[in-house]
Amino acid sequence: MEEKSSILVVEDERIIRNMICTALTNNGYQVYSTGSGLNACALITSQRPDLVILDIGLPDIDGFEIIRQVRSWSHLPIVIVSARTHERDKIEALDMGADDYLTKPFGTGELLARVRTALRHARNQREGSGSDAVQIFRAGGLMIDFSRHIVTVDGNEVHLTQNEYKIVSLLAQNSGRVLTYELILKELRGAKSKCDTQTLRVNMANIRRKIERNPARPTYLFTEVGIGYRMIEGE
Amino acid sequence: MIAKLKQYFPCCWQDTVVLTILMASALDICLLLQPLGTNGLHVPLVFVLAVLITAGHTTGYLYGILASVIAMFGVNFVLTSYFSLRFWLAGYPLTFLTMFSVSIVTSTFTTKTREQERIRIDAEREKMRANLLRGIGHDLRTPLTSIIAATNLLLEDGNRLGEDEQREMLCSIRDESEWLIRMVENLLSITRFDGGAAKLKRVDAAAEELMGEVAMKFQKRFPEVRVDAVSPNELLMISADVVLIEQVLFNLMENAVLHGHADAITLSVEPDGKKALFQVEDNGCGIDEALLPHLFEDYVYQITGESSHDMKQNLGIGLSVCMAILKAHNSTLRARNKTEGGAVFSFILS
Repeated sequence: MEEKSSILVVEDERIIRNMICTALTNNGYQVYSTGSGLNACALITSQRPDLVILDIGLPDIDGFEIIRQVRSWSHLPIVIVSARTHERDKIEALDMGADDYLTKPFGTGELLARVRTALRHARNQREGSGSDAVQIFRAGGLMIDFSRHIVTVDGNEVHLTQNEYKIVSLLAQNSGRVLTYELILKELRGAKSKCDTQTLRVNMANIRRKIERNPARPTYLFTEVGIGYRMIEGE
Repeated sequence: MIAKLKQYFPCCWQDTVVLTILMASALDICLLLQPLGTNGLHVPLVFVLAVLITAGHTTGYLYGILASVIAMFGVNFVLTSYFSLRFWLAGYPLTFLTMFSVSIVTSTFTTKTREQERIRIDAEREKMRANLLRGIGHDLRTPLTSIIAATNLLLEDGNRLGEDEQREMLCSIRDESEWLIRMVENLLSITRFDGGAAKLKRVDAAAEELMGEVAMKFQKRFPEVRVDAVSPNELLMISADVVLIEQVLFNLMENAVLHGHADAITLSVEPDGKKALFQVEDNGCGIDEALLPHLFEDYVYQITGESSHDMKQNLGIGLSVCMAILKAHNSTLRARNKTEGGAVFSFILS
């Protein structure tokens, strides 16, 4: 039987903090919360939560500092919460190791989805990439067979270039989670390919045209403009 | 002290060019007119004219004064023999004094005129801001009163309301709040670049990705509206502040639903030469023909007066924000009604 996952909520606005805690508790999670960033660091080391929801705009300590500190000794998933206009902050936080982000104001549905996804990926990573690893990814009509490198949409096979397949499989393995341009490029560069953001966009455009029925209204591959890309959650 | 000096004696290369050109021209004209045999009378006149023009077209006093000094040398150079400068002849001090006074007077005059122009522009901007604040105050108050009314009702008479009615109250609270926060975001984005186009955060982005994101966000907000997006086969790139352009598109779509009462919207982007043409088409009731020519006046909006909750009077802010954002991108908004009903708003980005 699954044990309850524990979540630490670090948010200084009381009403929002209460809303997050209530939503999480009502969905079976064990919740700790604090409004202070300094307390957060202490709580993370003492309580060892399975996930941290962190407000980037904390008044007492720089949110990035917390991410940096945590990432120096743990892969614990971090979902950041930020106000609307701080695009730069989101990218920086994600590149520094945060797993995903939520923009205020957000609904409980979005919150729960992000939490579920982050916990799932953390669990997958912990269980390692052995024979237990996910072999097939399915979402709606999209199916990716990682062992045979085959991608099909509604039963029809789709021919992707090597780079395109790398991108798609990376997004699928992190389905539901946003991947920044930087992160995707890092994966691609490993294979000696000369890639920059523009090339990545061109690749994504080609992928969309091959996979999506209407590239302008995608159902599988979503763009967070200015930040990166996100694949729909798999089944 | 230094600041004052800098204000009255500014240095810039454009003014140096003006100075050089005028002085050189004065010299050339004098030499050209030499054979006319006016006995050298034309020389001081030409140079005084040059000093006048220099002082009138440069900022501050520096260039005017420099011009009079150079002119003095010039007059001397031309009137005596070539390659010699003799200042002790009678009349030179007077000539120099005249030119110097001319330059000071003209510089003062132009400085004052520029100052007044700046004051006028500032006053106009203040007036626009005041109008905007008035409009905002009104537009924000209306949904807030609705929210307060609904919450009061729920708190005081909640148990007497049926569950459906309660839900309805809560939904309208949520809808009004969502509208409010979008208005606030609109206003915050205006302040971001009010200082001029320089503050825009332009990035390269794919037009279709932008449209896809806006379409999805809009669909979430208005699930009952059919949203279609059309993009070209070729990847079309634009350079713009994506957050602001998304806001423009969202505002236009929201207007189509709230004011045009449309239930189907089509977003499209297509290449237009080296630029991209964005269009927002709806199947609503179109734009009131009477309003059409005034739609894009700066910060103007209609207060219908009677209907406090018909959002007709809020048409202004959404569009004003779109106009301001597009203007900062060197673009403008175009609107027309379709023959088959509904309206099309369009703009071009590079």
